[in-house]
Amino acid sequence: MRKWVELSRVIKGLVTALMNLIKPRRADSNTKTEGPITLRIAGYNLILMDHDGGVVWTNEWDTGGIFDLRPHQSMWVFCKFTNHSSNETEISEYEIELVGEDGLVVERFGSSFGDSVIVMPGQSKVFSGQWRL
Amino acid sequence: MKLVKDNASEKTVGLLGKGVEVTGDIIFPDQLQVEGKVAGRLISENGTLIVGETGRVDAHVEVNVCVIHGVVNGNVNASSRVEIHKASHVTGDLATSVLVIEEGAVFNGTVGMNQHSDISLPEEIQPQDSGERIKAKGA
Repeated sequence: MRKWVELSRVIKGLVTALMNLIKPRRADSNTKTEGPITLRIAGYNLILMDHDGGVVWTNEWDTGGIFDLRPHQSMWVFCKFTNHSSNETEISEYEIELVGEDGLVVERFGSSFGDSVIVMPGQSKVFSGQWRL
Repeated sequence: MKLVKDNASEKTVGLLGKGVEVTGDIIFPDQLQVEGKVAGRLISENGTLIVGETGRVDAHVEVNVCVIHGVVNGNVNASSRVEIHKASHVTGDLATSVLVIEEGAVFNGTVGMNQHSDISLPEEIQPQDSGERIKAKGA
């Protein structure tokens, strides 16, 4: 009879220990909710490429201070390239990189042209892109 | 209008409170938050204009960054960035390099590249995507 009492105590202790192990996990799974994804943006880069994928020209700008791009927000970026060289510049595709506060690229988007765009010396072209979370 | 010196950033922050109405030109150095009404011109070469939820600006705006939560009637030229948040109403043309629009915002106007972000050339071509019309009514 005494053995049965001890055994039941051991089993009760094991069950209690198991419950204690499980409880925090349950609490964690309930409280851990993924917050809204935001992008902290400090600047952006423009990369122009020729038909071979070679980089023709790059430039970087800041956004006038760090800001958060949140869900349900759309962002348009307008980058201007002016051909200051004496030769015409052929551009087949471009990329716009969004740069975070640590200087790392956080997003990248762009476009390519069916026929290359030629920018004559002294002329300018605006390359734009839209990003949405 | 209240001016406060932010000791941490050494910036001067101005607040035009709710119920305050100003007609004329306002030139500010760093940051101005408008919760009242302004008619005229708002100018700051390197500053940030914040139009609060109760703010109404019937003015020509020339700033570095423009963050809108209220009502703006007039053209906005922001060299770095324009943000149009939900529940705001903007009527006018924008010239900027970065535009952020939130769902629920109302914007009627055109968007063009800020011209003073690069040197202007005599034979400058008109970008195809300059003057892009974006409407975001209750999106």
